[in-house]
Amino acid sequence: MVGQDRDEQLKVLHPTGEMASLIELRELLRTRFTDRKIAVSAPYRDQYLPQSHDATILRAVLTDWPVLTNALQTEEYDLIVLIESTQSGRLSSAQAQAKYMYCPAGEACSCVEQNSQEPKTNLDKDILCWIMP
Amino acid sequence: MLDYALAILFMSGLASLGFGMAWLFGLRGGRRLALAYPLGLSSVGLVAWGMWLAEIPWIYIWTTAWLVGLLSLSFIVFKLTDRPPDLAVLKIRLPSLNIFTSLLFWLSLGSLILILVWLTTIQPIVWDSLVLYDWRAIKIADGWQVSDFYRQFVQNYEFYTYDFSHPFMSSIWQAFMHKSGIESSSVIHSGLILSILIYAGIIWKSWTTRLIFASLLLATEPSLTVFTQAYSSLPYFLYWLLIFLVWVDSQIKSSAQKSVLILIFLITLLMNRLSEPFWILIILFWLWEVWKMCPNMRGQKPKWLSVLIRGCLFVIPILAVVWQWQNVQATALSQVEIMDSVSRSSYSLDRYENISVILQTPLWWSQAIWLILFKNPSAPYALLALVMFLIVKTKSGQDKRLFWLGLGWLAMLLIALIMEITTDPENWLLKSRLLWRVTLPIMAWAIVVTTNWSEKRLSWFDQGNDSDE
Repeated sequence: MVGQDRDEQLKVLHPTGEMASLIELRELLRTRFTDRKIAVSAPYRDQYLPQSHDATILRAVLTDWPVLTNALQTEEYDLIVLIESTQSGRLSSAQAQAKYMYCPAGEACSCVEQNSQEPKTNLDKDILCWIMP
Repeated sequence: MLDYALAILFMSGLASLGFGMAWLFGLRGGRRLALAYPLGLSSVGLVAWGMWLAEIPWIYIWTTAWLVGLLSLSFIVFKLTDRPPDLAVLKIRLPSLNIFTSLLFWLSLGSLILILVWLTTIQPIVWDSLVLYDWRAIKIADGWQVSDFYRQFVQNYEFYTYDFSHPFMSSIWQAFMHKSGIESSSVIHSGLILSILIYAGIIWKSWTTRLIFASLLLATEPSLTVFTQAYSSLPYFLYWLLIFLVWVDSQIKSSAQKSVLILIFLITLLMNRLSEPFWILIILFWLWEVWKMCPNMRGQKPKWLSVLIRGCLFVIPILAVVWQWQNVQATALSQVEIMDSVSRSSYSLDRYENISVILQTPLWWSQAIWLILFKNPSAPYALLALVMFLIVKTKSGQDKRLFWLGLGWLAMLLIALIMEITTDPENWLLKSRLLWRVTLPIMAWAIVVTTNWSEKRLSWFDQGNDSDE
């Protein structure tokens, strides 16, 4: 266990591969969206999703950005990250194959529209919808 | 490796500061050395916690702690260079044994050292340790204040309760590590374990007793589980252990003991969840100390000024701590902006309206007793302490007091269960897994009293050795 880093510990907590996916999301945000004001939107508990999708575990992995229950309504952020699961049954088969969907502000985003926890449209913010395997 | 070097430097600074405090408190010799790190860790933790609550930016708190630590360390090094200590005093006399007991002794000692190395370097893989305690530490190190913690869960009461119902003390210590770039922040507790082992070695002169203590601490299943909860449960458990060690240490008396206990108690108080009733014991201890300080009640001439000053010395810090913690919760509650949550706070009597459930459910009592006596992880320790109490015929009033204290704690566990069922009658059996943390003080108590009582009867490795120090 000596030298085991934090990411490895997180994978031990959830050995199903979900942690690896979230760590990949973190790297994407760090490398591709460095100039954006990012917030992660998550319900505290979503009964349709596994526990690792809820806000407590998301914030443990995505430590660089705030994980908020009201991110879409908060003005100071211009890129909102949403987590969508292939297990939720809310995605089409084509969407489920993608790693993520990027929805610019003003455009319809099926991820947002189908996520029951959030408002139905994104009027002034970009949305990054991360597809969890 | 740089991580660990930095951590050791920071911890050495804390120990140096604590060494000076131990000197001020009047501790002597090995005790000054053994209690240096716990005192340094406690005082820096307490001050940092207060400053952080006062919204002082973490960068200033962290810089101050490093500066104070390095200055203390430089002072100690300067003094040691100026007047080197007599290392002969530290020479440890090992027991002289026959081949069989010698082999057993060295195997036991070697195993314990290996277990200690493994434990002090293990990483926590328990949910709350990483997702709550460690995460909060990372954010504090990033500069988050209390206000930032409640801002994330506007209109979300459950989120609020998760973060704020768990005490912040461990996260404050870890934040020092994270800010210094040390990811394995549980290393800060390793100094505490080492201090406790040294202190136990000073209190108990017999090698048999020392090995029994170390085995109960490091080589039993319930204890090992606590060690994997390095952020949430381990420091809390270690501080209760320290309280009992100071208590049974007959060489620490009067003002030195009280000074050490004040600090340790304050920190232990800050690591208690309000829903766990053991903090009541600390309040009772404080009241008892104040009572004892009133000379007129002991038939002596009253010195009211002295009583007033010393009373304030004991009562004000504890009130300040309780008030501050309530203040944090109240502030957070007001910001959550859910009026309903106020009635669900820890301080509303409404939550106990289900108390009649206990009276209406006869099965509850058998379930509660089963939980306390068998499912309770400290049960084997409490049983061992009871057996030792029955075997060792002691006339010591202190031992009897400790025994009754243990029984009182089991009663307190019952109170905890009553609180649990009254607040959540549908899920209380499920939530009884929280007994883990609740029973840690009982485990610490049982380890110390069992070891203390064993010294009077057991001497497998001590033939012909009066003193090993």
